[in-house]
Amino acid sequence: MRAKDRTVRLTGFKHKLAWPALVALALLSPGVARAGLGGGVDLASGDPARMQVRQHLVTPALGGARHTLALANGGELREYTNAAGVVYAVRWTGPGKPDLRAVLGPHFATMLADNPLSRRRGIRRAPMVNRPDLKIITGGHAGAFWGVAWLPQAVPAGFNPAAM
Amino acid sequence: MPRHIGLRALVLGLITLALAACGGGSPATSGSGSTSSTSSGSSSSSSSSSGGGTLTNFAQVVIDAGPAALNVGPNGYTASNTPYVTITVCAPGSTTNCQTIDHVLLDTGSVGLRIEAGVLNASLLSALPIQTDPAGNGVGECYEYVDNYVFGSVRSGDFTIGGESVPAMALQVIGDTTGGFGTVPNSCSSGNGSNMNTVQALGANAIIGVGLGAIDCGSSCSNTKGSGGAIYYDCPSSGCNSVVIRGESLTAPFQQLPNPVAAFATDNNGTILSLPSVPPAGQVSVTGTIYFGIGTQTNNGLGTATIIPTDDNGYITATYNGTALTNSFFDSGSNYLYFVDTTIAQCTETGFSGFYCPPQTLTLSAAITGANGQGSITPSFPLEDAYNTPSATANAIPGIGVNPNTQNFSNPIKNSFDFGVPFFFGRKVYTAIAGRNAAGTTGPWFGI
Repeated sequence: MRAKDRTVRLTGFKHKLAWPALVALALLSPGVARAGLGGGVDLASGDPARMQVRQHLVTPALGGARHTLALANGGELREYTNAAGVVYAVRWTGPGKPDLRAVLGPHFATMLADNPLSRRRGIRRAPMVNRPDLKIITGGHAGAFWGVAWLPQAVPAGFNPAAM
Repeated sequence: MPRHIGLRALVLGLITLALAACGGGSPATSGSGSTSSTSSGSSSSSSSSSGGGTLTNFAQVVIDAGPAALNVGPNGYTASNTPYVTITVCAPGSTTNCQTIDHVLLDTGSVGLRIEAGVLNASLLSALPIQTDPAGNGVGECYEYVDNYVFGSVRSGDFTIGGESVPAMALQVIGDTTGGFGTVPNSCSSGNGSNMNTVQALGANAIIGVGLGAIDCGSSCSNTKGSGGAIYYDCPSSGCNSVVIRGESLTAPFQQLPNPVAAFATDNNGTILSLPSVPPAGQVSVTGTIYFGIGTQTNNGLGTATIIPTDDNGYITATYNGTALTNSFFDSGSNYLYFVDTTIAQCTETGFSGFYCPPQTLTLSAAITGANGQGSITPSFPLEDAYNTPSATANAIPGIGVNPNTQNFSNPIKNSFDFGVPFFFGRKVYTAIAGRNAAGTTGPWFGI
């Protein structure tokens, strides 16, 4: 199942990146089993309806790397990985939300659970998660969204979510 | 301690008074040609005499408890600071197969008319043509708000509000179960949240987005760039899966949902939302006016308002407490003020997490500038105790603020001031549509 998912993602990626880049990306985190926040960076392929990656830049950040993914719709996704290649924080901006099911991995379910429709009664507040082991802050309005998510137990020293 | 059922009930999700016994069985809408049977704000046509003739470029806005269907059942509640208008939708070309719909949420922060399927009469729903794609299949749409999304069919209908109308306008029917529209595509729900496919979920019978954009998606949907504010789908009877390209036409036949105001024949460059001042305790209901067009008639001039151009995202900069918040905006679809200020006391009562409860009403201000530094004004506005100040029955309440990060968030992100409905009280807020010249300045811009 996992292998099949990976194949699907890579197939989706093929249209956006040259093969050498694709291979390099696949090798980046050989020891990380699953994708998404807390997993490997290859999550970035996502659903093409929401995440067509036009450019992928990798720069050093806090002992790990910052992956900046420019999306075709003008949006941007940043993924911060530690030395082991594990994504400990993400940040997104753009006219549509990215594939958060892929970007957040297993934490997507937590975001849904902490922001039920009933919470909307009488108050229209942007979704958020404020748990000891997971922080998510979102905002914006229709046509321009942003959000950040990080794992407090996994962030390196010096990490500042406001500086992402 | 005074009783404040209104706001408290909203926040706590309690069952409010059993008003449903009075009106729960009546439909939220009425049939052809008649006005709604609900009490306030139901007048759909508006006119006034002025100088050279009768003006019809406006509609009444009401802020009240919301549609009857909101306050029904164990999850019933009343609306808070939600501006509503009344509209009429007819089958294209028909003057008899029509429906007047009250309690349509007036949202200056989004684009497009979206109606709950359950609100529409079956005879009208079936007479609103489903738009088709090149494959001959129906077109579906996923549209995202900051908290949740709506999914449903794209249809055409003759639309009227006040004295303005649009023939064969593209609109969305939320929660349409016709054909293949009944299942939300995975790529729609992967943006987070839920489908607001009931009146209680949406907080309204429908929502009319009259924001800064002329259409609801733009180039992201007319190419294959992935989602913009919307994702359009090819919807054979087996379900909606593939994304479909939709052009950017600003006239019928529309391929994307237009801003209804942008689609008017005249008075189509923006709106002015004028709401009255409201005392600190709030009111059961208030009425205001939305004017269509800016500088096009004798009733919609710029006056002394300051034009504040927005950036491409519809953002302006609000400098608050010395911090430039570059993702700020005015939004009638936000029912409170949403901003971070860790120096103001927050409410400690259960269910009021994140609400501000200053011991005395504060007068706050923010220095606002537009894109490229154009436009500069420093408005002030009140912030009151969200728990103790509002009266029990108030549905329109000034000065309510919320920290979107809630209390005790150790790493607050301060980049936005969302000026919701409390800011609109006692003001005229101008929203000029992108690409349209309004009062000599091309939109998008806000004016206050």
